[in-house]
Amino acid sequence: MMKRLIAKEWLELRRDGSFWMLLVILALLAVGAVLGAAEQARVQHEAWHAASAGERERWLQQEDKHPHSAAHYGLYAFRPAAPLAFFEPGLHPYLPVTVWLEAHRQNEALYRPAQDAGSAGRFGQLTPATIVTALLPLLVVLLAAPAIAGERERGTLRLLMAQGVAPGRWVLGKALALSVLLLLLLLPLWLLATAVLMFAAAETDALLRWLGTGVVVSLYLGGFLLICLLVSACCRTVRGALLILLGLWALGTLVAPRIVMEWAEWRHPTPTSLAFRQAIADDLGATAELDAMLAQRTAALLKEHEVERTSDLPVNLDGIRLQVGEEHGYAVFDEHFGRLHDGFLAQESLLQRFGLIAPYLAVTSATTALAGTDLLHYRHFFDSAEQYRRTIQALMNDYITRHPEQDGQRLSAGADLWATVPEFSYEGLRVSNALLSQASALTVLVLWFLVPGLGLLRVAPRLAP
Amino acid sequence: MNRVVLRGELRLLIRDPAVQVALFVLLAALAAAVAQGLLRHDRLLTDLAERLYEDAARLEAVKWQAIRLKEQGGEISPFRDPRNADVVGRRLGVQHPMLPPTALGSLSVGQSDLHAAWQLVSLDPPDRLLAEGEFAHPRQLAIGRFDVSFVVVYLAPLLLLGLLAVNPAREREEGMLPMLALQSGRLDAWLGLRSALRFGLVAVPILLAGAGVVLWHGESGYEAVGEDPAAAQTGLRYLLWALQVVVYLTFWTTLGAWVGTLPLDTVRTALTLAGAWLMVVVLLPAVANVSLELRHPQPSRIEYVDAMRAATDAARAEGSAVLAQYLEDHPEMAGEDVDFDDFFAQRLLVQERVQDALQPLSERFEQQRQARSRQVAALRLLSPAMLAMDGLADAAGTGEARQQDFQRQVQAQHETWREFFMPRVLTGEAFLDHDAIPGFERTEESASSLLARAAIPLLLPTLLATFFTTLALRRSRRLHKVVAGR
Repeated sequence: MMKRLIAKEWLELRRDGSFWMLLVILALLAVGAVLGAAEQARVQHEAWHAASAGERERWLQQEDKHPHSAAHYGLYAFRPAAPLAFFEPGLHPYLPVTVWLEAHRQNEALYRPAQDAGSAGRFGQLTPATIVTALLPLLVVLLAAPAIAGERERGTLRLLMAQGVAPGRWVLGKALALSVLLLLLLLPLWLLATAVLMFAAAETDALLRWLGTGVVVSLYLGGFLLICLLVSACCRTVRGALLILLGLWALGTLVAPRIVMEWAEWRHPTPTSLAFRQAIADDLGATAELDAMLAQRTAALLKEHEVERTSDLPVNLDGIRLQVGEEHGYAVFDEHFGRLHDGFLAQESLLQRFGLIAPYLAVTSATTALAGTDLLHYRHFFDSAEQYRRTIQALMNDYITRHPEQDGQRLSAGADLWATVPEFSYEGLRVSNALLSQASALTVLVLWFLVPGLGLLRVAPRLAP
Repeated sequence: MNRVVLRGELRLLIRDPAVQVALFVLLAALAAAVAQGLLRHDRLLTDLAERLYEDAARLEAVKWQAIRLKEQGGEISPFRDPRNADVVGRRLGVQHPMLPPTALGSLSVGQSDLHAAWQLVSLDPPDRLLAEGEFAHPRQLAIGRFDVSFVVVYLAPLLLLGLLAVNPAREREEGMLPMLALQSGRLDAWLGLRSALRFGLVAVPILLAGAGVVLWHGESGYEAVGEDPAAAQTGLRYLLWALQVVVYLTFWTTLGAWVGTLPLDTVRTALTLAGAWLMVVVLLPAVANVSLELRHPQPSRIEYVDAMRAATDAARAEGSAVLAQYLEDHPEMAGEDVDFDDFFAQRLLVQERVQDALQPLSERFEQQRQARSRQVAALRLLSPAMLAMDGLADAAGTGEARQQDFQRQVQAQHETWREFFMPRVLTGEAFLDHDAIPGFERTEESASSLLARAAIPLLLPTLLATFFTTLALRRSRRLHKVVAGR
């Protein structure tokens, strides 16, 4: 029976002109998007590699100078491209590509690609992931809306029932037939993307992420298919089923994400850049705490070295002052950047939970996390870069502290000190971290698949002809 | 066509549950979008006004501190000395030029959530300062804002199409058309009236919401940053914004009216219109973006930073030779007081050298960006939705063009700033000219440039609307002959 059902569905599809038109458009868009994104990712990776190596080289080849000058010279840390960014660039166009690590300041990261992209990028960005999660469901609507309602409208459902076909088995057959068709449609895109991934010599972690993406997308599309069949089973006409499903698609994919995002922003407001920078400047300018920290550290040093005057200390107090200044700054930066990023993550968490209303939010949240192109991965990079900056400052200031200036000679250091600074080799988050961060979204997607499935199981045996 | 038909249509329109639902959805969406916009606008104004006050208060405090130090003396770190031109130009006296939101700014967020409404002018390298953007959750930037533009471009066409095309198809199926043709006299006039009523139902609340927001905000944005409110051109901006709404919705109305006259059943009609909406609002912009990325990929900022660092190293390696070279090129600066080992002078000149070295790279980057912009301008002709989105943002003053214009003026201010401070840093004399620091005076874009940019987004949908109107009229006249037997 299943074979016959699939054959029948296939025959009907072959005759459906609008289905083929949409399929060809989607296929062309998908191939263009995958190849374009893969080439872009390759170019970006090369630029990232060259720039990172260049920064290291420049740091090591600094001339002899005061260590604090080297700290001010600093380094740029470049955000690496995620291995699955070609499939799901996610938030990367809206996340900065680099951050300058210098003395005294935790700088904001710079250069969001979208700032140079013009207005077109804000309207209809097409990625392979968008095709699968936003456009393919439309194809599912076209396939599944007439599946049961169409048979009812034509009167063939009554005939089938009169012949003794069990409605439950028949609906199950329909679902399986459409799933097979959907898989056949997805397969070429999946194979193409896998080939790109293998060509880029992806590591196990990336392959696991890819596998996870496959599961997440399957759950989403499967859930969508089940909802379409459920609506088709409940509607008397194809027209009604189509209108409801197209409305649901538009609401879930276009409208709800924006409304939920606005609501999340209202619940956890993002400060304007102006207010944020002013707050940091105010806190850094409040030097009473800094003075207290410095006095405390000096007192501890005097006690440790059992002397009464700072001039008798066997250390360079400039190094201590600089380091205390840095530590005062760390607290300020941690508080403000932490609050900013925590606010973003709180918004993100709300989005995941609202996936129940708009599962598109849940699936995009999960695919971006699995692709490593979400906020969590970015924050991990940003925090790692900041830790690296602090390591550089600590090494430079420690050197200054250990070398008191003698006879008014300005302190100078060279290649040996620069080489003590380890290379910035960013270790990204593992797939397990990505999955843990998406617990709500994954739960929503499982529910999104199970609830309509159970609904269909309940409705199918009682199907009215 | 007589008044009876008009009254009948109005009665049907008011009682039609589909119309009531559509109107409710539209009003709810507008209310949400307007409320969000008002909140954003108020918050931005508060921040801009505070910043303006902070800048003025800080400069005043720095000036008095400098005078006090001059008269009374005292110890202060050279890096905090308000009499040091470099310290004033780089830190203590920095300036924040601002781009005031127009009265329509909250209707169309446009690019204003990506680019900041203010910039920093100091002696630091301008390219890095100009790159600083506004904060927003990146997912919000990716998804887009729920503003009135979104309601106009995405939702309103859906509602219009739902109201316009399904009913005629159903009436044809139910055999009502011959009766309507006989009653109304002319089927094309009846279809025109019906389309116009539904168009009005969707367009009027949007236009009223826009007018309400404009009246509510007035020129508060300009007043908040101390600019002349007369420069705001609020009337012209609202006119262009309203025209864009009317033209875009007219395009959808005529398309819907034409499809409604085609010999299709209700399902086919609904599918055709949904397909048209999908094509114009989702697929064509997507095709435009894929083509853009393949033909004009974005220039790489990573390569830019890499080249900038290499240039910085080359300039630094020359050390004090840079200063000597500069003074050779600018003998007017070579006073007796020039200190060749002066840290501040050397730093500034190294920075100058880096900027000179970066010039070709910056120009290449800008050329690539502009080539891409031209391509974007051409590709948006593919879809009236893309044109409308740009047209609405442009009229609201949140489009790319006004932002670029602001950036250019800030860039010029950086140049003025540098020219003011550079001689003072090089001579190293005590700086007490705080009152002479050049202020920023922004020039608002002219009415002619606004009109020129609005021409294509208004013209193309108008042409398409005319085309669909002709088709719809021809079809409805033929239909009239068939159903009325005349």
